[in-house]
Amino acid sequence: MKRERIERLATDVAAGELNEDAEALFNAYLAEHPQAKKWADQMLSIYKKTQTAISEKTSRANKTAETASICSKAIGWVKWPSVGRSAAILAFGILIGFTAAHWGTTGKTTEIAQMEPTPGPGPVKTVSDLKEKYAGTFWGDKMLVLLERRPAQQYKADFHDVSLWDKYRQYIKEKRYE
Amino acid sequence: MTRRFRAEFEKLWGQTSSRISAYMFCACGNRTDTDDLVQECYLRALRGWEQFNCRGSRQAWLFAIARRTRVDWHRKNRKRKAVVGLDNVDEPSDGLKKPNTDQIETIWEAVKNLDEEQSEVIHLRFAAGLSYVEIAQALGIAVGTVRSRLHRALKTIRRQIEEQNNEA
Repeated sequence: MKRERIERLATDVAAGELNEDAEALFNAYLAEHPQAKKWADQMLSIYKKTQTAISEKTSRANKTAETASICSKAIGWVKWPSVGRSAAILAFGILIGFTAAHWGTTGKTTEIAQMEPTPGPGPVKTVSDLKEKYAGTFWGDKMLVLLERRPAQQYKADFHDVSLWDKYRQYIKEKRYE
Repeated sequence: MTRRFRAEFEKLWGQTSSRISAYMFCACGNRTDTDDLVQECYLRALRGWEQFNCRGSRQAWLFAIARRTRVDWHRKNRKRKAVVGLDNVDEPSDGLKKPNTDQIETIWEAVKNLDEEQSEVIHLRFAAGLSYVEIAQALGIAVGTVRSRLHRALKTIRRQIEEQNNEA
C-alpha cells in the first residue's frame, strides 16, 4: 500500500472509525511491513497529540462552564423573593423597634410627669356630675360623649382635680394603646 | 413549554453542553465569548426545535447550529484574534504521554492556521468528540469528505511540528 493509504487507515483506526475486521487486516499488514508500521505510528502519534492539545486547551472552557453551572444552580436554589421579603420584614421590624423604644422612652417620661400629680382616690364622680360642670363647651361635650362610651369602672378613679384638657389627652392616649 | 419538550431539551443540554463549550472555545479562545456563543447556540436550538426533521441525530443538528453560530460570530469579529493563555492548563491526569507546553502551543497554532474546512473537522472531532457520521451531518458533507479533510489537517499539523522541531 502507498503511504497515503496507510496514513488514512491509521487515522481511521485512531478515531475508532474502522470496523473490527478491517482493523485486524490492517494490523496484520503492519506486522509484516515495518516501514508501513512506522508511518502508521507517526500518524497515530500526531492524532493523539492533537487530541491532547485540544483537550488541554478546551478543558478551561469546560471547567468554566461547570463552575458557572454550579454557581447558577446554587443561586437558583436560593429563593430570592422570599429572602428579599424576609429582609424587608426584618428591616421594618428593626425600624418599628427603634421607633417604639424611642417613643416609649419619651412617652414614659411624659406619662410619669402626668401621673405623678394624680392624687389618691377622692370622691367618685359620675358622668352626670361632670356634665354639670363641663357641658356646653366644645371640648366638654366631646369628653362627655367619650366618657359615656367607656365602662363605668374605668373613669371612676381617673378624673380628679385634673384639667379637662389633660383628662381628654389621657383618655386619647389610653384609647390609642387599646 | 411542555414538560416533555423541557425534558428533551435538558437532556440534550446535559449531553452536549461541555462539548459545545469546547467547540466554541476553539473558535474564540476566551471564556466570555465562549459563554456568549454557547448561549446563542442553545437559544437558536430552542427557537428552531420544531424544525428538526429527524433525519440525523439531534446532536448533529445541534452542532450544525453551533457551526452556523460560529460562522456568524467570525463574520462579526473578523479582526479579533483568538488569544489563549496556558495559565489554566492542567497537568496530565491519565497515563498517556502528553505533548509538552511548546508542542501544545504549536499544535494549537497549527490548528488555527488550518483552512476553515479542515479546522471545522478538527474542532468537531477533537473538541466536540463527534463521529465521522455526525460531523458529516453537522457540516452537510459526505463521510468520505470528513475522512479526507481530517487526514489532510493532521498532515498539515504534523508538518508544522516537524518544522518547529527542525528550527529548534
